[in-house]
Amino acid sequence: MTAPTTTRTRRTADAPGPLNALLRMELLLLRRNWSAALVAAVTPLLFGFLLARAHSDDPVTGVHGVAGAMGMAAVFSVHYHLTAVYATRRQEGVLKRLRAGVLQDRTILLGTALGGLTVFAGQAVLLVAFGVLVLGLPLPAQPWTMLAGIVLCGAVLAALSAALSGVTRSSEAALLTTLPSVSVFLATPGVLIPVAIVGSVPALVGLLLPLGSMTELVRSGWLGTAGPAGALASIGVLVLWLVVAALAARRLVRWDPRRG
Amino acid sequence: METDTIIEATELRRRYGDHEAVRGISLHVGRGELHALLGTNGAGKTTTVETLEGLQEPDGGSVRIFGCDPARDRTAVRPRTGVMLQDGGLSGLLTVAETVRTWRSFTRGARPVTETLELVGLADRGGVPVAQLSGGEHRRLELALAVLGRPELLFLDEPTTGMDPASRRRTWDAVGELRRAGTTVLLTTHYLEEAEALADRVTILHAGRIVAEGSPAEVVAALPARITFTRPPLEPPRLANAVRDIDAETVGYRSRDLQADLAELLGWAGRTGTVLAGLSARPASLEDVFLGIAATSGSETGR
Repeated sequence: MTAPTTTRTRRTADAPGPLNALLRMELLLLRRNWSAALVAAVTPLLFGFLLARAHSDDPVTGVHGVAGAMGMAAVFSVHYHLTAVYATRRQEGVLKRLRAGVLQDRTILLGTALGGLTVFAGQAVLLVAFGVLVLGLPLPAQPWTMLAGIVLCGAVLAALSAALSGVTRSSEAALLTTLPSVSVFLATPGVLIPVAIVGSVPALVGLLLPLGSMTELVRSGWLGTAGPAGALASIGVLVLWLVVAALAARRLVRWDPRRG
Repeated sequence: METDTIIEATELRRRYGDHEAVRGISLHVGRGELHALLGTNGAGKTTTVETLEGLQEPDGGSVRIFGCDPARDRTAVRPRTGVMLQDGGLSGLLTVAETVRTWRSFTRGARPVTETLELVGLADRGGVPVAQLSGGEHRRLELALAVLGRPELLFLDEPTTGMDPASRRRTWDAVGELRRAGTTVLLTTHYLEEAEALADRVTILHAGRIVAEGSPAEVVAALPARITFTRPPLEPPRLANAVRDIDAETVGYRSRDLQADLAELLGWAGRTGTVLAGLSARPASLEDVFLGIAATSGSETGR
């Protein structure tokens, strides 16, 4: 009768952490699913390069262009892609099966998001490198400010995706359920529309939205124009969004596959 | 406090909207026991099991697994349980070996990949994408993942539904092997022969309630045996320990004492010179329990 209890406590040293394992699983699945990889990883990057090039006449507009491209990459690689991923894993029963094991809910949700977030991080690095090496933009002056914006925005979009996946029937349906949020994100001044050409009211509204704060932190951090007050305000906006999105995710996320 | 009670459920209730799927189920499973929950679709088996697994919280009553609440004390309970859900839970794009390797990372003290696959007879299928497995192989892979951490308590929700006989035999062998190692098992099934072959105790559920409980032999013994024959011209007798039902063509008795009733019947036939064409007498089987339940419940189906 003691046999099961003694074997239970034995640990295998080679087993990596659960977050690491979930990340590797997601990246492996992304590699094997070409259409998802194209939408999530390749297309936003290509459009990003084109977008950045179009604004590259001087350092300021160039940096603005790359920041917008980064915003667009976040919308597709994190927000749209993860909504589809959460819906797919739920419909496959993977989320429910994970939940029947030892992992905590938040570990499962975070681990499932890490694939999309890693892709986005890679895109951000490539876009900065493209800006510096190809477009001849200056080196980022305050990389930590940029990093804060990128990381927080990624977290906000991932949490919103988890929440939205609760009302998304399948990965195909994600196109529809994310349409409103994707539209708002892309229309936020600083993403596809340069902040310089919008009035002060839309610009201010934009700064209260996640993509507006993120692109602002990237622009001002890169050019070194970020004052502590402005940066903290943008970070504060993102933290607020993160709290709201996390609460929404906790309420709306579904673990059981939807039938019919 | 560690006792030999593994599962203790008291007056469990669970409802979905207007439909009460589980209506007061109490269950006690001791260490090393294989307990089968039998029932037709919609009887409340899966709801009961998912409540015991901690995936759903009961609307009434209480569940204790190893003395803990499985939904709230996850860290205490989950390392000691293995779960095979009723369906799904695997990404078709991963291979069998990749799937086992991934799930090993979520399991403390996990078995090695080869040992795991050998246990369920999938050792030569490691490189195959999960999407290309047969239904039976897919279920056996799910079983493999459920036992990866050498659980003390294993939940199997309809482990052999839709399996071909060879896959079913392999699954039964694997379950037998786990039991010999001391694993406690709660399994649901709607195959009677599975419960009779594997279970120490069975609980039969119907419409969210327990209708019979005990060892397979006890459950059968508590049921009336059956005597049938073609209806003769003469009115057949009433028997001391049996309920008689007669229709146009056949006569049937449900007997609580097969030997005495049969002797009485044969005596009557001898005295009156009646031929009992197609005479059959047999003890109850779990199948009778099922058929009896199904007959009384045509109108009431589950979710």
